[in-house]
Amino acid sequence: MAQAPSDDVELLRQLTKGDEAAFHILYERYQGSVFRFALYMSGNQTTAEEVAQEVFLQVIRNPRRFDTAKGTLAGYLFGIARNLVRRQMATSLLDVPLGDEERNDDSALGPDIDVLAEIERQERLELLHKSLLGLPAVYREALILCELEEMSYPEAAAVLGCAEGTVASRLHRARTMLKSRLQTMGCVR
Amino acid sequence: MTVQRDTLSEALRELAATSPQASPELGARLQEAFSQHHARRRLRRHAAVAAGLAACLVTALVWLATAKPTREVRKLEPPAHVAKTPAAEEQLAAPKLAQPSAASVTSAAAAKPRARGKQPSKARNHSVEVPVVIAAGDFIALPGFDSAVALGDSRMLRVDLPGSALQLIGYPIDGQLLDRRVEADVLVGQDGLPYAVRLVNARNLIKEKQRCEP
Repeated sequence: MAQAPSDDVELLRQLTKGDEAAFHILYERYQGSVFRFALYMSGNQTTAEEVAQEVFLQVIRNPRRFDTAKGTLAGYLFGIARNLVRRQMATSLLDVPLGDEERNDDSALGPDIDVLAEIERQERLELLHKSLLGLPAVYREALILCELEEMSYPEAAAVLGCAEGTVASRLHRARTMLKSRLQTMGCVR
Repeated sequence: MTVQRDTLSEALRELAATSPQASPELGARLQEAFSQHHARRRLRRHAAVAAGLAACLVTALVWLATAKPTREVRKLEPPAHVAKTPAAEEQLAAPKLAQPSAASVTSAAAAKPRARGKQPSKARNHSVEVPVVIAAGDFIALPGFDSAVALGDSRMLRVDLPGSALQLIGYPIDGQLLDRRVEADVLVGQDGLPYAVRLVNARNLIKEKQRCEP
């Protein structure tokens, strides 16, 4: 998230001219966070991929829609993703936990790794994931942007279209709710 | 509280770090979409440029086809109320032009390039209409002018003509202006005959005519 805005503007300028390398850099820079945001908001990997695709297609089709005066490129991309996810959630009620999604990180398990500790870690992350997906969308998006994507309050406020104070209060509420859920699941004492 | 908060933040960041990624196919699809989009844009831009060039070419060809350079001069018939007699023609052509006064005739050599330079551009309109008003700066063919004869090495003389002579040529002059002497350029052919006349200060004459009219 800590990219220099002028660099983004230059990238977009090159992209507008049809520079494929510029698009590649921009995609590599933002695809992870946009996809992750869509994934934790929708709870569905296929939807997240569709949203990420649509976000970048909009950038391809109309790069001049991004206005530097209105915020950062990251904020602009998250804003598109947020609208798309909301639309998806409204139409197909995809706001369900990611319980059945397979998380195959087996390749990360080396011979020297404590298998029990690793399983415990993965279980903990799984619970955290489920708890996160169980939060109401307004709190979840604040938590994803500020905690997972490490955005500042002003950046998150620009994406969410609300005041910084609102972001702060939503974030506080989201943390409280998340802790409560984790305690219920026996994850936090 | 702070410790718990930090732990939660760390756990969330760890969750983000271990999140699944978008498939590599998505990147490839988008890269292809980008290439196609810009290929189409380039094609549209080239087509627009080609269409513009074609339009310019067609315009230029049409203009070249229609704008033939010609030295035609307009033939003006005398008005109906003026009798077209050989005597009148003689009065117009012979005496006044044969011996112009030294003061009234300007240097033919000096006036010649001006006449040559202006004629072709104005000639485009000449064959279209026969004016019944005083034309400003246009050459008016005299009754004896034969368009079949090439003007060749013609000369131009600046003379003072009476208003009555201009009326004989076809200019709608009457009243007080008949007695006025009017400055005019006369185009004289190789054979020494006057072929065409144009008024030097036609605009002033028009104004005076309008003033004289009730």
